[in-house]
Amino acid sequence: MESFNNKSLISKRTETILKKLSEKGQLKNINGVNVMILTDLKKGEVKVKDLGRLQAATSHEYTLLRGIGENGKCERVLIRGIQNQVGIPEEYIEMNYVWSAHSHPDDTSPSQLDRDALSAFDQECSVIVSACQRSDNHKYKTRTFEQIEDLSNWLPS
Amino acid sequence: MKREKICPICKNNLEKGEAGFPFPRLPESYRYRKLAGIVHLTCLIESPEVEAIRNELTEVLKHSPYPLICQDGKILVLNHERDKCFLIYDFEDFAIFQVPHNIINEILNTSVEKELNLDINGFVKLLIDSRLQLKILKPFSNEEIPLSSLPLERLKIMLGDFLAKQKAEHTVKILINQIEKIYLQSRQSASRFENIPLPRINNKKFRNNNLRRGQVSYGTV
Repeated sequence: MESFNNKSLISKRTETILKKLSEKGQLKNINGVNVMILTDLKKGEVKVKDLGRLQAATSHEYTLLRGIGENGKCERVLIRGIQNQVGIPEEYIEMNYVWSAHSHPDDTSPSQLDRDALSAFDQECSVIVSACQRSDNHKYKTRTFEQIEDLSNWLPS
Repeated sequence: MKREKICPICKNNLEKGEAGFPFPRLPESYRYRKLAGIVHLTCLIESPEVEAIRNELTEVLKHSPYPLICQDGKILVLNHERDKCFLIYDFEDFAIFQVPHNIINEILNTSVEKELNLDINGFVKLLIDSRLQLKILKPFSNEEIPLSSLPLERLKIMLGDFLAKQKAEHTVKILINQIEKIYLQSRQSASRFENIPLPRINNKKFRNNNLRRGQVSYGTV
């Protein structure tokens, strides 16, 4: 059973996703880290904006992929990692999946590992959703990041 | 989201397996801002302006929000406390990678050929070979970047001072913890005696008796 941070604040939608993940998700060990993988998700079942809510609810990092599944249909894959990292099985890279987004426990700044993973996907950009920062319209803050680092604000103070 | 990668220097496509350098986006006033993108490693190294490019990248890195631990030539090491890793910007070989704090000792103390994952996925690997050289392998694009300017010995020297300082700080923390423990234990044992009533002293009598002739007492007696 999932342990939630604050059950009263979890929306019905988030609860449904978490229930499905615990019922149908497959546990996999990637380099010593256990991840839970939920495949065969249809478009709209899990959205990028859900990732912040999911991490806020369970304190795990989440990743969302999309691509063509084994049945030849377009699918979404949700992966739950540990608190500050989430592993992505390499077969999804070989099958040309797209790394739609992943969540961060705090801010939306990408790490070098995020950029390396993006490079492995041979992808230009992806999205980070914060689990704690909210934008003006109270939605979880998102940020698009690229393979290249943005140092344009690094000026002498 | 997937687009062809065009090298900003030669304007040719970056083929799979060709080593590329993710040239960062620099501030507006910088001369090589136009190179932002994935650049062929060979284009960079063979460029007549390679030294000026290295200088500019090194200059920008000095204004990083993360603390700069050390710099040796055009190689800089920053400490990223939140992600618990060292960010290594090697502008001599044109490679950027991060090394988690928990494996740094394993890297520095190894004596045999070893391949270490720098991330959970194994997207970036560090190969420490017999010549004490580091290599980054990106298995999915078969990209291999030999870090010929950064032999292990150089990395050891660069990180040596910082690691020694960290070790000293760690020792001090342990000592402080121990002192705090001893202090708390002594407080606890002292509190056992707090409930025992002390003998009553008649203040007035006590003071009067203790005042010698000629002495003046202060306060209300």
